Amino acid sequence: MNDTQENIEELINAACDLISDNLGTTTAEQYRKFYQGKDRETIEISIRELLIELVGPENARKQLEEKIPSIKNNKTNI
Amino acid sequence: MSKKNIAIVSLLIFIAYYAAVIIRGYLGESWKMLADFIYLLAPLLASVLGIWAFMIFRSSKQNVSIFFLSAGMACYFIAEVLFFILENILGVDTTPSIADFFFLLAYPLFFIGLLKKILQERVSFSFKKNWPFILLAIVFIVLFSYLSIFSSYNAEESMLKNIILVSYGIGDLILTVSCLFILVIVFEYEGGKMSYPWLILNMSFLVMLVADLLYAIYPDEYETFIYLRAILDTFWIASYVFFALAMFRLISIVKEKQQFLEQQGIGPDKI
Repeated sequence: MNDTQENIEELINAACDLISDNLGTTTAEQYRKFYQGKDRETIEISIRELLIELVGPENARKQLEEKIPSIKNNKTNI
Repeated sequence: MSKKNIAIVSLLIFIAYYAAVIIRGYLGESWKMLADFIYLLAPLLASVLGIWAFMIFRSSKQNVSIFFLSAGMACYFIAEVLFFILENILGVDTTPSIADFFFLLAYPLFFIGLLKKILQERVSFSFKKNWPFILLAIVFIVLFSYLSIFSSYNAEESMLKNIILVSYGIGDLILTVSCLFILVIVFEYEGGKMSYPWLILNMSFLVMLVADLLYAIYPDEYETFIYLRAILDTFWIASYVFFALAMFRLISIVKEKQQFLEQQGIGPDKI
């Protein structure tokens, strides 16, 4: 996938949606700021590890499949 | 509030309650009110942390389930306060009373909260994998059906009192099914930090079920023997404290992440 700014923004939105679902909007907005300027791989690893830490690998896989299927297709091994 | 503070507050409630029970044992019934008043601190702590958890998670997908759980706990607190006023200040019979309404209202609220949580997570429940828990739930259901529902009916009592007594048994059956729901959530989150608060919540409901079961077996002894009452009250206090700890653990998970980001120079106020 081409790492255009638009693609990265879409990924950040999807990641922040997941964070908001699990930890609320305040934390999600903090993470949005944290992700600014980060590359695709860093964001993908961050959201994947955060979800596994919070809800375990099985539920993390379900949530990622629903909101960011590209992570699963690309490089997730959970 | 830190982990240490919440542990100290919980421990102090137990110590203060037992000190009041011992004082009551030596100095007589006039000290009963003190023990009963200290007892109220446990549901107060659980309610406050329930509301705090809801405030933290109000913008997350868990908002509805935590709202119903904390509303259920708030009902328990209101019921306990009303019970205290009726028994210790007004000196009237507590069953049937408005306190029963709030106690009974809590059961469906807990059930709705947990049902919502399960539906939201779209968990796949395997009967084959969870058979020990299903078996345990069936044992509890049979016990409560006999002890709390069938044996609590007394033809000499008023219809209203019988309806309330039987309703408590039905409420405990609802709580038993709720415990099963929580276990499903714990397994869904297996390996994740979010499983711990739900496991602690399950402890809370299980301890409450044990207390309710003991009360169903020894209702008269509970009123007569100070120390038996203290043991049963300890179970209920423990149940409230476990609920408080479960909510605190949920809050801590969010706070830990927010602190991590603040250490990176990203505070909520800067957004």
